[in-house]
Amino acid sequence: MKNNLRGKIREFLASEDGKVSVKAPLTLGVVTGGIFLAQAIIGPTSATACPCQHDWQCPNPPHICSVGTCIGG
Amino acid sequence: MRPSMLIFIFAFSIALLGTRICPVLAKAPDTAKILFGASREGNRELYLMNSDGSEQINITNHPADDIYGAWSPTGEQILFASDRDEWYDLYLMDADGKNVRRVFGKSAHRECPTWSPEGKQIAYERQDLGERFIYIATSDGKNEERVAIGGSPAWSPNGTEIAYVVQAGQDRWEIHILNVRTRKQKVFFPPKAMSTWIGSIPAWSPKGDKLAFSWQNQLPLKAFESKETLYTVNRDGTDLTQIVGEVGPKVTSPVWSPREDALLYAQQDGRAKWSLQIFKAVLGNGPTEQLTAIGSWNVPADWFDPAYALPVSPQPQSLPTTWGEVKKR
Repeated sequence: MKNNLRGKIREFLASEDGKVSVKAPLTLGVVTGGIFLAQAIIGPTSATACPCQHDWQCPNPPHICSVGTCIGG
Repeated sequence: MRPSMLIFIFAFSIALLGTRICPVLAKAPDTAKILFGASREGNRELYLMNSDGSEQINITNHPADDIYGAWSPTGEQILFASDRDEWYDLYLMDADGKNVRRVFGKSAHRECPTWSPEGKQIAYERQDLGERFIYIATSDGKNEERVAIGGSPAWSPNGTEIAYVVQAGQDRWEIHILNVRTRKQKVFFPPKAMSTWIGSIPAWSPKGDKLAFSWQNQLPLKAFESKETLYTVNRDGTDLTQIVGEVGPKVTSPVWSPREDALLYAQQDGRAKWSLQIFKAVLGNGPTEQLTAIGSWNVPADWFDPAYALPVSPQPQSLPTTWGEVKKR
């Protein structure tokens, strides 16, 4: 009974339906999760994600921070 | 024990002692010096100059961006942020720019450092996953603790409070004050919720009775960005005073003189939006003096005067007399 069920699952995953509905979303999820995990491990980047408050939080002149936004360039 | 082993132990002890006493041997400036950031050769560096703008020297000389810095209370060290290791993090150097070392063992995006008045702790802005937070740590980079949401902290001269900037909503920037002991936070400015832009790190006056900051509240904020100018307000929230008129170009980044009789600030010099020069305004309708004229971006960071600093760090047991009170004398 148990072997029968496993066999059916394998058969379904190998089929075109199984690839589209299970394998592909699973692969996509693992890749996306991996990217997020890598970002968290690598840490922040020098380009700030939050609104700027000071000019130095923007790329070098001619960029400046204007009311929370980097402008110029 | 073999003589070679004795020599090794002796040499090791001397080396160990050397690393311990090296910070003590770092020398504070003999005369008043202004620390400022400037972009003169393509990247941002930290410079020193005299109070009249003379003798401007680059003390960082590094291809990375070296930005906002703060003198230690004794003037022997400068704490600053640099992106020499991919993103901004905090570094310490001697007052002459030598002996640069990282503050923290584990890298993170840290900037806008400020010293506690006795020099044993630092506060700074740290960005975690795109959010700004205020952290406190010991000045040796240990015991890092998140204490508030926000950025641009400034430790009060009596050590009890930290003023910092919070983005409370779309186009709503506020100055909050954190009680260091209780960790309680209060909105300090503006007194009621409104669309407003705080464009600078709040600057405590040396006596701790006033705060200076740059502010813009004409709507829409972006359309009137050139109206950002300098204000002071008492710590109790009274006597909001405009220091520089709104007629001229944008004004930002106030720094108090150690005597509390003048303010430094950066103002667009009219050549371009990104072209900032440093000015000194003597308070009480005194004269205004331009201190820098070269480079495209000059912003004051701190002003140290040995006449207003204690020669050594005060001992914790003698701290009932706070630094700010000593400075008043």
